[in-house]
Amino acid sequence: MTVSQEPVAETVRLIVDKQLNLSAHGYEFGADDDLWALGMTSLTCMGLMLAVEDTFRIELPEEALKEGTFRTVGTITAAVEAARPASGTKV
Amino acid sequence: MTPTVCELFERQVRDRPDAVAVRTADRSWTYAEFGDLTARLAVRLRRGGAGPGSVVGLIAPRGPQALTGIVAVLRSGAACLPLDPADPPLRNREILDDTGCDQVLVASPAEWLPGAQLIDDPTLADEETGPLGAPSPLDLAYAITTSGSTGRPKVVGVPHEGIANLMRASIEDLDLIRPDDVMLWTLPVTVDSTMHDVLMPLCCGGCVAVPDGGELPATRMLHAVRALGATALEIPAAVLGPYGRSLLPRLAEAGVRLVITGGSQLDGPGLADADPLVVYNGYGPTETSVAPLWHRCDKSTPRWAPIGRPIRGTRAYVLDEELNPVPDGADGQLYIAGAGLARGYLGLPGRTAAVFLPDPFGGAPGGRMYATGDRVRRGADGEYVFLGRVDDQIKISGFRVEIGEVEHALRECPGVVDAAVLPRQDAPGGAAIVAFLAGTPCSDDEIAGHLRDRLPHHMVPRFYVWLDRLPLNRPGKIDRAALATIPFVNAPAT
Repeated sequence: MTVSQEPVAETVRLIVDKQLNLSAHGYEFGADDDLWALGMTSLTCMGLMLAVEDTFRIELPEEALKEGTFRTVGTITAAVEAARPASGTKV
Repeated sequence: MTPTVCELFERQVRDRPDAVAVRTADRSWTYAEFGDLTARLAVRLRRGGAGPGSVVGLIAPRGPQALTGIVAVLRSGAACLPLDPADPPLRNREILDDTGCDQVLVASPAEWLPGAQLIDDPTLADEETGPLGAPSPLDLAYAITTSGSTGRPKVVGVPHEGIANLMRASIEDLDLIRPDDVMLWTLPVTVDSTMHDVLMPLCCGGCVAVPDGGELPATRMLHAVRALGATALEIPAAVLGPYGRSLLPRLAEAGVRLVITGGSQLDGPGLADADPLVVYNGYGPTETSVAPLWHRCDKSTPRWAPIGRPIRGTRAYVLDEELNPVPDGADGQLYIAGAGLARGYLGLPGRTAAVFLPDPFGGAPGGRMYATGDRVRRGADGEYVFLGRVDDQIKISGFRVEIGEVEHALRECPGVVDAAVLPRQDAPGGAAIVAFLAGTPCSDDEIAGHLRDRLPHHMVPRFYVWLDRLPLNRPGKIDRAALATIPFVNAPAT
């Protein structure tokens, strides 16, 4: 059984908002908005990575740890999907 | 007498030539090999005039070359002045000139530095080994650039005596390093903690593991630990505080026994929850040789971790404005005295004298104490706790930033009439330096472009907010409390 992508994207969105403090400032952001342009730093990106890994109980592979992976909610969601067990185990 | 780091390293080269001194993902160097490599470069520097009393610049990113450069400069007898290749050439040029650097080591050729010595220069293989520098304890070991409140950076000169004392305490008293440790080098070359982190293993027979360069190194920390077999590493308090609870168990599982932290106030939960991994919090301005106070985190350590107690050979005083000692539990400014004191700011005798004061409490006459500018309290248990600053110096990602230096650079930008700079923890994307400006607005890119020619990247504000005029308080000074709450929703990041 496969898990649909929507809940992952929504969870990622919530994590991003909490880590980057965006909606608190009235910033609205969609799946394709550039988080680096919205003010993400390498420090808060680290927090974002750890929160994503803890929430989905995954470890992103080393080759995924680059700026592009964390650029948007969409790219993070794709990285999470790719790192989840192929069997489609629910988290 | 406490041996210098050069003597300690050379002892390891003799005693365990086949042990691994330096390791990357691709290769490793034994003590014999690294000793030979650094000796040849040191001899080349000495032929160029380097030796005790001189300063040699080092412009290289973190990597095996930078490590070779540091050790070679020390072995030549000169002081090592590390600069960031990503910082503006104008600023680096000024610092090299101000400190009288005749020789500069580089990892790759730089257009603005025609005479620089390449660290990987193939002709070094033909360099004959000869006598090295043998610096004495009062000769400078390294020089570190810090932000200056008047618009120019200050360069702190630290003698061998200071770093040697810290090495001895790290090895013999604090257990910060063991001969079987592999220490992962995580910090920038330009911060003084790098001197501690990379020289400590080389002084006791351990190994320095150098991670690959590239994007987002902090996120790849765990992978680097596993790939290189690291058992110890430093993580800045700005990272460990918020993320330690998540990071530390993973590091412990990967075989890390010790995490050193520092650079700013350590504030976070779960620092003693990854047993047997131990977190050691070091405190100290560059002017006092990396860290003269250390706190070992345990189950009783509060979120707002203490900065610890003084190591051997150093003293800490909590004094009031008249320089009288305050009782335990009372607030005062922290003064540091003893073996770790820097010589002062190179070429700035007045600024040196203003903060390196006569020490009326040490036994020996003529001693000095350094006014840290930090407000602290000493608890009944003998542990010191940081409370705040006496001035407006701030920390961004562990880097000291004098607000005045950034404001000075902003006022020199076209269109800017007045400027105030504030750290905002609540900025979108995470804590940031925010510039509030009055004058004729221009684009963020234009201002940031001007600043990047003058300031290191960590000092360039991330947000620019133009106001009709800066708010003033009753005495007519800029109202920083008002600026701390002004929203900047419409200010996009640059």
